[in-house]
Amino acid sequence: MPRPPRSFLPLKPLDLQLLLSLAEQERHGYGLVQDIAERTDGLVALEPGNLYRVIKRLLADGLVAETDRRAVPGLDDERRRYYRITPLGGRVLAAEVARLQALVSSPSVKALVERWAT
Amino acid sequence: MSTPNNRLPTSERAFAVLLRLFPAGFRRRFGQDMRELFRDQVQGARAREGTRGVLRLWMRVVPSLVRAAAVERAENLRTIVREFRSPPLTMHFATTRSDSVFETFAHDLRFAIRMLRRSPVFTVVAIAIISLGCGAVTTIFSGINAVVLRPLPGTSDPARLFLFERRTRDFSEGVSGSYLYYRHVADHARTTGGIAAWSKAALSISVGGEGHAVYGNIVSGNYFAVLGERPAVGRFFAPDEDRTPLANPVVVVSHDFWERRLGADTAAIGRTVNVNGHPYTVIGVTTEGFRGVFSPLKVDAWVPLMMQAQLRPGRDLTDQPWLWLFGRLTPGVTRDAARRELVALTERWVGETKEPASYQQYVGIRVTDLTGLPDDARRAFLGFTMLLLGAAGLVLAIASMNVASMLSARAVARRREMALRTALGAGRGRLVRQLLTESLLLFLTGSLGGIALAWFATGALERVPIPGDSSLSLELSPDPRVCIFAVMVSLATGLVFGLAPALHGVGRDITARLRNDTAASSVRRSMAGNAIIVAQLALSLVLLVAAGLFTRALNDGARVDPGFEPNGVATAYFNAESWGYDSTRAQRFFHALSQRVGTIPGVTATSYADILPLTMSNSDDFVRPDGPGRENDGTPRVRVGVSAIDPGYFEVVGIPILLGRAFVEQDDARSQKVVVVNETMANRLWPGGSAIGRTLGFHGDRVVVVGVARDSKYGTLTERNPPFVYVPLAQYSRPDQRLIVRTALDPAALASAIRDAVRFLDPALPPPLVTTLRQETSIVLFPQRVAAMVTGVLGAAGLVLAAVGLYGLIAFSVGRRTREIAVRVALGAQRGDVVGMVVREGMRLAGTGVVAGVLLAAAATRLISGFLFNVSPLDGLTFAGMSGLFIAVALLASYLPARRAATTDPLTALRDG
Repeated sequence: MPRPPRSFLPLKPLDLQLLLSLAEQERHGYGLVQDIAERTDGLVALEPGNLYRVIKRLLADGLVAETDRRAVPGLDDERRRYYRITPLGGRVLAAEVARLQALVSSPSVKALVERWAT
Repeated sequence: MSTPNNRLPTSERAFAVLLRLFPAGFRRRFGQDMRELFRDQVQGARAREGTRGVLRLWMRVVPSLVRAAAVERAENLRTIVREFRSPPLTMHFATTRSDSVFETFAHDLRFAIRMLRRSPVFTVVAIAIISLGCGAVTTIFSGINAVVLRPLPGTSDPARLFLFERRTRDFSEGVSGSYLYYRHVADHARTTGGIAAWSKAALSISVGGEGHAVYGNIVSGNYFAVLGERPAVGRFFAPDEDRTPLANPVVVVSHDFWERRLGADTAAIGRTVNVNGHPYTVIGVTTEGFRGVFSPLKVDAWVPLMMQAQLRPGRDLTDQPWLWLFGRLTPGVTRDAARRELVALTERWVGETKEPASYQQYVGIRVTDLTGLPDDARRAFLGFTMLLLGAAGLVLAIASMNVASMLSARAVARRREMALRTALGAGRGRLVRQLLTESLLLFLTGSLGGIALAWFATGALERVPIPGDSSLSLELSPDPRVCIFAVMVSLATGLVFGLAPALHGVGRDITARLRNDTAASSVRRSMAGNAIIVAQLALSLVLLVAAGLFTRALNDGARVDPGFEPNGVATAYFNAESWGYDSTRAQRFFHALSQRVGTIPGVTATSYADILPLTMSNSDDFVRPDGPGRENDGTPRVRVGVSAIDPGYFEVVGIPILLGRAFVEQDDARSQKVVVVNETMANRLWPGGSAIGRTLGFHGDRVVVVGVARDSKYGTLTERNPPFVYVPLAQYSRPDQRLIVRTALDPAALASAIRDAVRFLDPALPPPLVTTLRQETSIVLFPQRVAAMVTGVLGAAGLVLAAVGLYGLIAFSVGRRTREIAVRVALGAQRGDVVGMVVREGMRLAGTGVVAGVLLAAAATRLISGFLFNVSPLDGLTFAGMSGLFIAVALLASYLPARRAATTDPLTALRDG
């Protein structure tokens, strides 16, 4: 019996970014690094070490998977591996985003943020 | 294929090196991707910011990479531990490529346990064999450890303790310390945190009217503090108890004495007991197992040096040498610095004091470890026990070879499994590691068995009575150091003897082995097996020869004519000093005792002597052939053995007087000092003339030779007639004496009669230990007896192991040749032919083993020649006898499988084979 999506929550910020990026399209390592850097305005900079530790974990949890797809022959190194989000990963991502949305849109949080925002 | 490394840019190569930080599994899975990602990042950074960008990238990548690798490894380790705790039930047939060293090891270990459990007979037999070999080595090592390696019980920081001794400059002769010398060095030495002094003291302690003769030490006040021993109960000596003579009659007792004689009662502290006839207060109890400085001797009481005049009356020992000295180094000071200071202090002492001139030559200082035995005794002990350790090592080697051939056979049986695993992707190194783990596990378990065996064996050895000094007792049982030794030795042997079968088992030729064994590898295997068997047989023959030689030496030693008659003599040891007797009272007592004992039925003569011949208690002294002269005036001295005896001595021990007379009652303290010399002495000093009436200088006296006694053995059986001098006890009194009684009946039966006589004369005296001269002199053969026993047991074990090995090999070869034998039988070979063929194979091996063994033994027995008396280390009888025994056993070992081979039914064998 697979783990219910809720049991993965809350996601770590890196996991969230990675799932978001893969939800858009399948990507290889460098693609992920670039996309996430862009998405977060350079705030989240992934290095080979931490990126692949996160990927290893998400693979083990079944939230992402390797694709069979390889890069366009001749254009890219055909050994480069692409990753995709799994259906479970999608559900987890959706649950996490819903959780964040609820958090952000709750009146008390809104009031707090308004009070402190400059 | 990816670009070869040498064409990569430097930064990528550096990155590849960094990747090695990650566990292998992680690297294998993501390494390539990581490198590509990094390459992309470098290109991106260079495009945006040039070299600076690349540098910045590096600054970010390295720390994050190191951190990630560390976390990854830690997680891996956790997983391994978790997995190891709950081994899965599935069988890992082909070992997958594993992730890390730990993981691999854990996996190998689990697999090894499972494999060994699946063949319990093999496992149990192999472990038993290893236990036997390891137990032999561990037992001997336990003995060495107990006597010279183990830090003294009760000492703290023993590395800083040292024993030192005044010796001549060339260290050839030594002298113990006088009290004044001790005070001088102890008060002035700066390199030590204390120098302590002690000497032995025969004590008799009466508790509630019951006397006990105990071995005691008379010690300086700081004795316990320097050793680092703390009282288990009560206290040790206070500073003032070390200063004023005769002011503080206090005694510290051993834990054992406290338990046995004082009821293990803390109220015993403060209690008054009688020590040598004087009231002493018990102030403290040592910790359990504390044995003072020389650990083979069991000390039961310690008294302060200041009480010496009371406990050993009649002797002023302030400037006489009688003390052993030891010290504790100040932290940071080397032993050599301490030695230099002690030499300087000693030179100053010799320059300043009026010490007798004869001591002035002792300005050298020898510093040695404080580990349970005096230096000379330790060397002798180590020399002897190392030989025994070597013998035990041979048994371990033989046992290991047995296990190695068992492993080899098993490896052959598992070849198909190995081939299959290789085919499924397991590397050769991986399989070797797996097999090696199995043999290491076997040897490790065997070492536990060995420790258990050593536990029993040392217990048995402890009960072997040591002739002579009754305070000698050993605690040999294995301690943690011994256990570590056993495990290390086993693992090392496991590595050596497990590697070859492992390599052999894995082999190279997979396809051939998946099909079946090939003829070539089978021949190789049997050659290796033969070599192992020959080596085993040779080593076990070496052991047998050694055992035979020791036994011969024992017999030979027993047949050596000692020059006196040790049978029919009872003997009892007395120390009148320890009873608080003065010399007049002691003389009266000894006289009365010998009178009473003389009336016991069967007794034909009684006498006293200070030492008994051949009991390792001989003492040397000097005589001056030209008269007494003065100390060190250059008059020639002759070193001689000396014994003080009473009239009747020669009659009791059976040494004839060749010329002149023996001592008589009239040779007492008031009359002319007289001596009896032995033949060798007479012939050496007065060749061709009569010795009777000649004079000698002895201890400053002019003494007259009144008799010449026949030569006999005094110290050892191997000595060649040393010059010897007897002096009358009445003229040179000794505090301790031995009563000797010749009887026509059984001397052992005299014990109770002698004890009764002592009780009759003074009921307060502790009952003496009565033995026979035969028993006492048996100590000279003690090393031979121990060696014969130990090598005998080891030799038998070695022979059995080798025979089992030979049997196994022959049986294996018979099994393999079943078809061939069946064909021969079918073609008309008789039973006898088959038996002969198989036995010949065994005999060929045994013959080679005998030749190799004889050669090895001939080389090795030279090491033990010092213990063999007149038996040659190449003694033909022993070599021939042992080879014969050996051949007989080998014959039996190959006949059994041969008989089975002969019963082969050709029809069945050819059909089924």
